[in-house]
Amino acid sequence: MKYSKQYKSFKVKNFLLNFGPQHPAAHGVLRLILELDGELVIKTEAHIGLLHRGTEKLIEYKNTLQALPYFDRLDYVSMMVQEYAFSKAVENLLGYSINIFDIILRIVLIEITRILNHLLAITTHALDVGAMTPFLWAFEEREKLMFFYERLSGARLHAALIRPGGFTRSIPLGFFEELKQFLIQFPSRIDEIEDLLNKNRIWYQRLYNIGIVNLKDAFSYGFTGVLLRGSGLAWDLRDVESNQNGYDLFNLTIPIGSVGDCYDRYLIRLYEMRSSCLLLNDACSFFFKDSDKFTKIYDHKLMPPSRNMMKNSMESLIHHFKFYTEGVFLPAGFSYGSIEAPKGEFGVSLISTDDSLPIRCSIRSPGFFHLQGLDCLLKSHLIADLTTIIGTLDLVFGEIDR
Amino acid sequence: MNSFSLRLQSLFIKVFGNKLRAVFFGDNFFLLDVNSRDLKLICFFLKNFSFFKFDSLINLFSTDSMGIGRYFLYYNLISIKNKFRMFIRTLVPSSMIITSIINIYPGCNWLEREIWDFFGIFFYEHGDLRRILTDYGFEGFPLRKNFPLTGFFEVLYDIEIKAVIYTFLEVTQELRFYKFTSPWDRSFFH
Repeated sequence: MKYSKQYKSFKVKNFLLNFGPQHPAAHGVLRLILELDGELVIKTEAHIGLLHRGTEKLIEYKNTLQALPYFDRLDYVSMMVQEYAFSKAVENLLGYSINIFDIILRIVLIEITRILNHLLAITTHALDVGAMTPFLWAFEEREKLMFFYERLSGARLHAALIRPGGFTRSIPLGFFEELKQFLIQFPSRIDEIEDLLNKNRIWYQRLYNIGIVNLKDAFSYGFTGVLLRGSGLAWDLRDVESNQNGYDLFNLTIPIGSVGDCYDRYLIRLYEMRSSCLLLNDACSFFFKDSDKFTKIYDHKLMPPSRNMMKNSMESLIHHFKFYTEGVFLPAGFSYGSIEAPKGEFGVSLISTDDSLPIRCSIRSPGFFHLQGLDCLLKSHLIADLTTIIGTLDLVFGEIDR
Repeated sequence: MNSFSLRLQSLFIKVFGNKLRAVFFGDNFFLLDVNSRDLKLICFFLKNFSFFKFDSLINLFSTDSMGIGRYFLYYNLISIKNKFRMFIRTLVPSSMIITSIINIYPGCNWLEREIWDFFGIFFYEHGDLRRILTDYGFEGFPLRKNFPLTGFFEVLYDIEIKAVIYTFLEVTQELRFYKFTSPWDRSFFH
């Protein structure tokens, strides 16, 4: 038989489109080169690094006290979670474990931060898709939460409150009463946002069956957090490593998705805010009930002594001087501290060689991996779905570019 | 140190006994030191062997210790099935070329690009090894220890030619770098 081959000639009409880096729907300085076939996205190439500040390099030249504020500035909408991860890494390196009072207080701070982040994530997503009102409402709630930040640390955003070994300051009087007041009214604010969005036809049609992530892709691209749970796997570091981070004291429910689309992830974020509320309620009652039972004894190699102690005891003065000049001494070794940040697994790896400065501090930011999977998520979607998918990834460029 | 960690260790010594350099384990981590030429094989084994199922690469980073074995790579893997995290460490050979594991874990695409960008470690078989986080047209490998913290260039807006320009960095004062580490033995700490 004679081998024949038919050739068909056709015109390639794909074209390239530059998206960003100053596009308002890009949530920061994201530059995308999109290859389009009409309205269909064929290939996406992300150019990142436009906000690169060299955090990892800078931390190699800073002791722990100086390095801590850099973590606030990575993902600037979930600040305390990252402070926690760094503090955890340092504590793991030293083999230091904090007392139960501080563990629960850290959980309170982390959950406040989670609500803070999800309020922004959901409502800016809604803003990109075309619903403006939830954004305005949520920012009122964010304002209240940032007031808590301010009461605790003196700063509305970059708190620098959680530090290796404990906290920068003690908790102000009446803080938990105020938090309780907030928690009474907050679930009805979530209801209001749900009323506007859940059955809204525009919102539903633009999110349903868009950006489906199957579990295999989620694994292979290193997705964590909401993107992994949206695909139907109950993987939450709060639960998995609950013996390390103190979450085993509380009841934790992990919502998972069934389809793995943007709408699932939206519902999961909503549910996580509600479960954070419950967690905060439990933690508050814990403090009301048992707070006077705990005595806080700090290791002054890690935490500076109080002003009063410093003026009255020679040993404390030495500790004070050593702490503020030399910093915390990090023994040689390797440690990893991680926490379920609102966006996914946030981890800090520290490598040290008997010095107060680490020789390497590697930051694992969830957004970096989620953005990496954008090409896979966006394949064969329309260009109008681009904003939906970027919104659902919950990108913040502070942490992606580092 | 749980039972899974023990089984992992014994199985590893059985299967890869001659390929392992060292095994470290602590309360909440497990670190395996392997030869760089066996890395791909071990990763493949860890991902696909049904007992381990290390499905996801969580992180990959490099260190520069300025010694004889200068660069190390650390792979951070998690097993969803066993709820377990482990680290693989490998020494980068002096040729600065190491095999990419992109075929096993596609998620390490950007991570390997980042390491190429920051440390200049070349990943063989990667296919798309471009710079990722540094500026367009950047030269040098900034996270190497011999790269200065301040860098070499600065970017500024020139009002005369009305454009953003790059100039050589001029700092009026050298970077002051204090080392306060005490000369006494600190091993009593904790």
